[in-house]
Amino acid sequence: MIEERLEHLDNQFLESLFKNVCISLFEKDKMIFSFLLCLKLSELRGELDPAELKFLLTGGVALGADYGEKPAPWIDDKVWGELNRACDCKAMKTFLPHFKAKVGIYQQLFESKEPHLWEFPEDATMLNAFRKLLVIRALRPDKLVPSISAYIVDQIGEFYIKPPTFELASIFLDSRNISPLIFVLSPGSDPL
Amino acid sequence: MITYQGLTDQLLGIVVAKENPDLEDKKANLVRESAETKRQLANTEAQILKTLNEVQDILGDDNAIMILDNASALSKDIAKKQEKAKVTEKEIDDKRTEYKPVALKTAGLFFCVQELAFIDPMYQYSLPFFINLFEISIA
Repeated sequence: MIEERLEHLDNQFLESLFKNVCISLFEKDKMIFSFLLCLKLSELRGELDPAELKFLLTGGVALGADYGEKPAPWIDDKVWGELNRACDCKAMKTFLPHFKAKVGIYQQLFESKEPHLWEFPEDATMLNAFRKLLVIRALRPDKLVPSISAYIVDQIGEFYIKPPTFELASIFLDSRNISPLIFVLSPGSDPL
Repeated sequence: MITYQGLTDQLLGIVVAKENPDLEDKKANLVRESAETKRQLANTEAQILKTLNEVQDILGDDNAIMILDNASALSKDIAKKQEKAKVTEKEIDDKRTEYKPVALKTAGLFFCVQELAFIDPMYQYSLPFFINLFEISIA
């Protein structure tokens, strides 16, 4: 009973926070905000390993380390290096042997037109939703953004990738004579 | 400087006051009562000392014995009250703890929103803005 109420409170607040903050963000930054929310929530649940996040953001630093022989010819040096560095994270250690064993299956991901919708093999249990992003980053960096968008939907729901439409009437209610609305316009946009 | 701990406590106070106003009232009463009993206890102690100091022959003075008897009864009563207050306080704290996850999560989100300023210095949100949103969403 109380748990239900708490969950409701959490969701209600998150939704309202997102709506109200989004009003003041540039379009390009809205998804970053959603992603930050996801990351924060997963950090609070104790599920986020900072090393994994660091890899996602930077791809790790190539120090000319020798990562051994590549298991298949379609893997180039850059992909192989990133994959190995991703697997340096604690929870990813077991992914490398798994990848080597299933390299044929992962070739499908590498060649897929829609890698963000690709289903990982069932026995890739070491990968949670976030770690799958690391693999995507290594294999298909071109589709990382749609993958992150899918991750946000999976974590907190579709609402958070569809920023609320601009409604002047409701925003106007938040303004007062001492807290005015300020519009930052770019050519071609008209808030009215 | 806003700390995680401080903000969590503040948010917990807000959510409990809104969700369970009785509990906050009870807590306030408890604080008052405990101050009152502490005062009584101090008075009694002072009285005991005073009596012991003034009376020469303690066993022969009926009045002094009566005062001490009274004081002893009163202090027992106070001890009982304090015992009871402790139980109630624990009850209240337990109830408050149930709301703790919300407070923790919300405080975390506040710092998440603060990080937006790294993306663009225009993205600054005040604590009152944030708390206002929190209060509205509880209602």
